[in-house]
Amino acid sequence: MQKETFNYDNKIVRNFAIATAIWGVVGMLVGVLIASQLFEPFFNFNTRYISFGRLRPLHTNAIIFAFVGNAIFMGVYYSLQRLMKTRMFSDKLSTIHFWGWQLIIVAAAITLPLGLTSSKEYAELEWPIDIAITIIWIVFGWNMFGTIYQRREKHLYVAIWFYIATFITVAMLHVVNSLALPVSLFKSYSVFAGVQDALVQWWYGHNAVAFFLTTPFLGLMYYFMPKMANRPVYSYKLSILHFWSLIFLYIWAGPHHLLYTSLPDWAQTLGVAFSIMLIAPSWGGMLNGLLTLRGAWDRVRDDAILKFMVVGLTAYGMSTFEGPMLSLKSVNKIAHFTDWIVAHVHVGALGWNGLLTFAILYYIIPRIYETKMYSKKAVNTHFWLATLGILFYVIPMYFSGFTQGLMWQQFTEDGMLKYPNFLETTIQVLPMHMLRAFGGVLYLSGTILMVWNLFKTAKSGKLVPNEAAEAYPLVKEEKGTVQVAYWHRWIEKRPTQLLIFSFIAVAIGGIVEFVPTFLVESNVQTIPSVTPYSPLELEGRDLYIREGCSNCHSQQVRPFRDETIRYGEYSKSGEHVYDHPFLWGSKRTGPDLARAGNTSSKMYKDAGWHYQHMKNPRTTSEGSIMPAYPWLIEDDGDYSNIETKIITMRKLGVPYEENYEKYALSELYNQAEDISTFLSKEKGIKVAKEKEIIALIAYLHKLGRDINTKRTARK
Amino acid sequence: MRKMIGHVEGADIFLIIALLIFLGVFIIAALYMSLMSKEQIAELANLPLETTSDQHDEE
Repeated sequence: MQKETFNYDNKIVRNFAIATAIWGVVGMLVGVLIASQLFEPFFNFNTRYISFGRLRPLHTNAIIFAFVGNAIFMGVYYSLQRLMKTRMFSDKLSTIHFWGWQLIIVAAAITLPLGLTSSKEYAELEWPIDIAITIIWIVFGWNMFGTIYQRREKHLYVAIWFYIATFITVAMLHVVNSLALPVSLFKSYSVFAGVQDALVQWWYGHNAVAFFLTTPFLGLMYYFMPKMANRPVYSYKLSILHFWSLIFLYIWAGPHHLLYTSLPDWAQTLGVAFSIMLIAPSWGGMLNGLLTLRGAWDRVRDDAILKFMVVGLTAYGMSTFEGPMLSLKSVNKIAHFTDWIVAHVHVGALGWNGLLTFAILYYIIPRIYETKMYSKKAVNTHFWLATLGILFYVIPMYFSGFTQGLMWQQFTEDGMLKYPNFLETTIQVLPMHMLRAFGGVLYLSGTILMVWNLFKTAKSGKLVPNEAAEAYPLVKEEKGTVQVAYWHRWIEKRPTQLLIFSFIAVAIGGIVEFVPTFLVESNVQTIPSVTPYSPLELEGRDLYIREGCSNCHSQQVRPFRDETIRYGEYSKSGEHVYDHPFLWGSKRTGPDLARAGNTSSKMYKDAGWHYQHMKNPRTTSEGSIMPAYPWLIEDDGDYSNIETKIITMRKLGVPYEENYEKYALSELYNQAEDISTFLSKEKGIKVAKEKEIIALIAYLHKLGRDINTKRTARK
Repeated sequence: MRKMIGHVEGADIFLIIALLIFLGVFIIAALYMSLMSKEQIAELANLPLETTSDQHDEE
């Protein structure tokens, strides 16, 4: 049999590599900017487009989908061609995929600062962009499967299993979590509400970490680690067990993000149990990667690229040990809503994803440019900058997290909260926030050094756009010729079956958690006194979403003594049945707001206080790091869509009476007039009823009001 | 766990089925692994190290 000659497409790999580097710098730069805002709010320059609530989703999206996303595609396009001994299926699809993905990122970079957001963490982009993501993801899958089907190598190496599982699971997660009814071109409401929305969101959120930040990188690790170490993976058997256990277990763990919330207990416990089990496959993968270096550890001393891999894998091990620990209820009680979670996330993102991406870039660029690395010294310097950056980032954040968690639950000997003013706990951790920003600057500096080094490397060589290769053609096995001993290779040679089995493995967890929560009525008990939002409150809620308030304020009082004393009655699932989407948040940079409208809660503040607070938080809360929102006071609200909003909410099951939309606007202005009059007469603040601040105050005063034993006025 | 989910009618069966399926997946994967010969494993593990291009893989 004669060998066939063909070419590898290096141009698409180069394009994704450039995008990885550029978006990496952008995402990290935004990260440093918002980190600075968390000790000095002046760094938003009182500009709405770069205020924390709007930029934080931009930072997370830029890092996850732009930096890491492009890195995944770079690595997959490089390794898939070589493992399958064929060129990518279609150059056209590769180009559509590349430019489509970059356009989506640009759309995110424009819409998020404009406040166009669904508010769902890591899925903030509005529905037209969600559709674009689906289309481009299908293009990627089409190209990947096309390549696999035209392969010259009969076996699918384990890295490809991880790519296939990534493709199908991300598709499933994205489609389900993005289900929404549009109100306008850039506004939609989630089809799920309250507890159910929370469950779907964290099923997505947790598994975005699993299947976007983990499984594709494990695939890349299984390809690039052996290449870099020039030896096969430590245990291929372990990699098989690793794959099936990991993809099956990961999908169940989402509810550990919702411990002590109003999610049914059984679902929380299920999330905890599977999170603990996850240690086994995660560590199996990490050890398999590290032990691949057996007999080659001496090379780690001199080879900076291997150093990136080793520290990256160690970070993976640390974060996958810490994750299950954080899902233990007793630990989660202290850690949840604090900077501890931020530290945990960044060990994974900066350590695992960041360092592996850098290693892969350093591996690929000299090879596709047929040259040597421009400066190995700079690679080494980058390694130390990145490592120190991670340490300076996460250690202060751990300190900050412990401090917050412990201060919140501290009581005096008399049984009173020791720090009743939430602000005290915020001010206490500001030095840690400064150190964190310094860590971010170090990490960013290293990345900029890498971009310079890679640029000089590329300049010193010449891109080989079509790298010549040769391999024997794949001979089809005729039916009946496969030996019995080979029966277990059945899946591993068949991508379609692998896709189907992977899908079954990942779908089970979601179904088991969703079905009872959605269908068993006792899981979400309704509360008769809880009513739908008035038109003005609904508009205020949309402003709350636009400004990204849930990035810093939770709306979920957990059933602990310290929380019920600080905030009021603990949260119940029935309170959120009209919340499309839910706005529980995941972080308390500021206090919880679930009881902001409940006069029996210490959190209640009147309209005058809210007005002053939004205008300049430092006037009501000295030392606060909350940004000012002068535009809410200056701008008139756009209520032109209120009719459609009411109709959409009704379609989603919110019981607005028949034809309510017809007089919704007049009711909106009546309620606005009440608040405006109160401000003018009682507080001496002249503010027109049309201003956005009025709607926001109305919404804040709705929070927790319906379960108030002392009925409150709307003012 | 049974006590915790006891008040949700029918929910326990979902969990039991899920755990059984997981056990099934785990056992099949373990069986799959154990039946592979050393040669087959070596062949699969070495796939990334096979060079198909005329470019040197190691600098």
